[in-house]
Amino acid sequence: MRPLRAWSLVLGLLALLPTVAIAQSAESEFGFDVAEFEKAPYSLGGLLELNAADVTLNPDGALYRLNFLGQEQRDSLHPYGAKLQLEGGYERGWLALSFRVLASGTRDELGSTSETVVQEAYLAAQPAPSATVELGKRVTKWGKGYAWNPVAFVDRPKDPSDPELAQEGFVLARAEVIQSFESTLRNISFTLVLLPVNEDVNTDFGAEPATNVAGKLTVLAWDTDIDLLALGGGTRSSRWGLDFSRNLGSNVEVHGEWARTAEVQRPLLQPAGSVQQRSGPADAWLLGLRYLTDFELTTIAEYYVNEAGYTAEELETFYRFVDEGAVAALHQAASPALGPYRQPNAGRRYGYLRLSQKDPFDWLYVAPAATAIVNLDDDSRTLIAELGYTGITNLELRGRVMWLQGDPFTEFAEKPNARKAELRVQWHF
Amino acid sequence: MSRTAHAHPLTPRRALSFVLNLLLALLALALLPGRLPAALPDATTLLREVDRVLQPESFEMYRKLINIEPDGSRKEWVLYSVKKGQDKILALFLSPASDKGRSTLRLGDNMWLYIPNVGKPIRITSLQSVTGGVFNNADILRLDFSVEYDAEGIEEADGQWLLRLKAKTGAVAYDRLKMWVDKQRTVPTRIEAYAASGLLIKTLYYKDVKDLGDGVLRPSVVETDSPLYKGYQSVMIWASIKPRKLDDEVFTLAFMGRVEELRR
Repeated sequence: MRPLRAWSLVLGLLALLPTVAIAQSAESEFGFDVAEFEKAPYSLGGLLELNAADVTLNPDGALYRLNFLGQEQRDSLHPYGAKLQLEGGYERGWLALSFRVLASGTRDELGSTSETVVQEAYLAAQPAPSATVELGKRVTKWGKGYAWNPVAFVDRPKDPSDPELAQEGFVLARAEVIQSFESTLRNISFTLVLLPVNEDVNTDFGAEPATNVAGKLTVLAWDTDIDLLALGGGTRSSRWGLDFSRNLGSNVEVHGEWARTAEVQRPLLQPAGSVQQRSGPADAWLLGLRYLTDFELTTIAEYYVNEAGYTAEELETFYRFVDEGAVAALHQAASPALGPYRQPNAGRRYGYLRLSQKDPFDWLYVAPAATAIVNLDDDSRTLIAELGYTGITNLELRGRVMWLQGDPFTEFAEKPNARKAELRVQWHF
Repeated sequence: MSRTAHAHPLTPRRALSFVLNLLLALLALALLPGRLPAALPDATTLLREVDRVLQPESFEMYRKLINIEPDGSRKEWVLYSVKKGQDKILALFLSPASDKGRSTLRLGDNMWLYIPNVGKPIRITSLQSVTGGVFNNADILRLDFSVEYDAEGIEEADGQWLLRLKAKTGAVAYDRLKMWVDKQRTVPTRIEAYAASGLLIKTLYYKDVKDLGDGVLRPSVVETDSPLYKGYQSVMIWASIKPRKLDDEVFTLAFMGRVEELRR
C-alpha cells in the first residue's frame, strides 16, 4: 500500500463516522437491563488501531546521521500501520489469569516491520481484598509524575510525548498487603517485587543473572498519598526514593518524586573522542501540578531534574563529535558504549507543560491539547498540537502534529525528526 | 363590683346555633393546613433523612450514565459501584469497551482514577469529569449530602420542602445547593447547584421513584442540564441498589485494579 493510500484509508474511516453517529441517535429511549452486565468467568476485549504519519526528517541532526548510518539521505518518511491489542482473563474462585498481547505492523519507504509482544500474562491469587500475589509478566507503574517517574524502579521508561501508551511488563513475582484504619492514617499497603534476570527472562533489566528485590510502602495520611520505594541487591545499582500527591482543592493537585541511585555510571565523551566514565550517586526529582480552571482547561506542569543526565555542554560535545567526525567516529557514537547520549531526554533539567481544553465551544468529547517539553539547559523543545475526539462509542480519534526545535547542537534540534504529523483511529471491542 | 354568672336555659334555638358554630369551627380547622404554614421540620434532620432514604450506608449498585447531545445522539456508560460508611465510594466502568476496567475511588475529598493501560491511580478533582458531559466526578461519586453540606435553612415552596445547603469546605464541588424535597417520600425532586459566585452550574431532576431492591424506594432516574452546556443533557439511571458488607481495604488505591473481584 502506498503512503497516499494509507492516509486515504484513515480519512475514509473518518468520513464514515457521521453515519455511525446518526445510527446511534436513532436508538430507543432510556433502558437499562442489568442482566446484560452479569459477570462471566472469562473476559476478552481489545482494540484495533490504524495509524499513518507524515514525518519530516532532520538530515542535519546528529541522531539522524547515527540512525540512518550508511543509508541514502532522505527528507521524509510516510509510515503507516496497524495494531491489534487483545486482552482478557479467566477467573475461578480467588485465582485469576490475565493477559494482554500486542501485535503491530508498520510499513514505510524503508520497508516493513512487524512484531507480536506479550505485554502481560500473569496468574493472580486474591484470597481477600487485603492480600494478593501475582506471578508472571506484569507491568508495574510506580510514581506520581505524568511525563517522568524517577521512582519507577521496576518499570520500562515511558515516552513523555505520549505517557499513556500501554507498556510491556517484566517477568516477576509480586505480593501486596493492604490495611485500612479509621484515623488520619487512612490506609497502608506494602508491595514486594522479585524480578529475576537471566539469559531467558528480563534480559533488558541487567546483564548478569541475579534477582532484583524491590519494595513499595504506600500510605494515605493527612489526605496525601505517600510512597516510600526501594530497589536493591540485583542487576542494577541500589536506589530508593519517595513520592507524594495531594489535592489542594476541588480543582488543583500537586505531586512530586525524589529518587537517589547509589551509583550511576555514565560515559563522558571528550572533544577529541576519548571516553571517560563518570560514576557516583545521583539524585533525580520532579515537582508537578494539575490545575483545572472554571472554563475546564486542564493544565499539567512538571519540572524534572536528573543529575545523572548530561549538561548542555556535554550534549553539545557529543553532537559536534558526530557532526564533525569521520565514519569511524560515527560508528563510535552509535555504539552501545555511548548509548546514554542517544536516550530520550538525555539532559539534566526539563519542563513539561500540557494544556487541554474539555468540550470547547460546547463540542462534547472534543479535546484539543497543546504540549511543550523543554530542555531547560539548552532551550530546545518539542511542541505538540493535538486534537482528540471520543464522541462515538468505542471509537477514539487522535490527530497531532509534533515539532522539534532548537539551536544547532541542542537536544531536540539534533533528533532524527524535525516534524511529525500523525493520525490515529482506535476501535475498542 | 362583683360579677354574677347567669345561667341561660338551653332552648332549641340556642342548641341549633351551637351546632352550627361547631360545624363552622370544624370546617375552618379542616381548611387551615392549606392556608397557614405548617410546622417546619428541622433542616439538618430532614437532610439526614433524605440521605437515609436515597441510599443505605453500605451497598452495591448498578447505574447507567447517558450523555445526550442537542442532535439526539448519545453516549452511555454502565458503572458498578460500592459504598461504605459516609465517605468511601468506588466505581468500576463495565461498558463501553473503551472505558471497561477503569475505576474511580473517592475517600472524602480525595479522588483517584485508575486506567488499566496507565496502570496506576492518578489523582483527579471533583470538578473534572471522567465521562465528559454535564455530570462531573462529584456527581458520579456522590457522598451523602449531609457529609458535604450544612443545612442553612428550610422553607415551604410549591408544596415541597425547600432546603438551602452550604458546602462545609472549599473542596466540595458546589458551594451551595437548593434542594426541593417531596414531603411524603422524603426524596429530592430537584436540586440546583451553585458556584461560590452565585452562578447556577446545573440543575438535577430526580424522577421515577421505585423499589430498587431490598426495600430501597428512591428515584431511579436523575436528569441534569446546565446553562454551561446549552442543549446538552445527562441522565443517570439506577437498576439496583443492594445493602452489602464490604472490607475497608476495598476502598484503597491498591485495590483499584481489582474491583471486578467484588462482582458475583
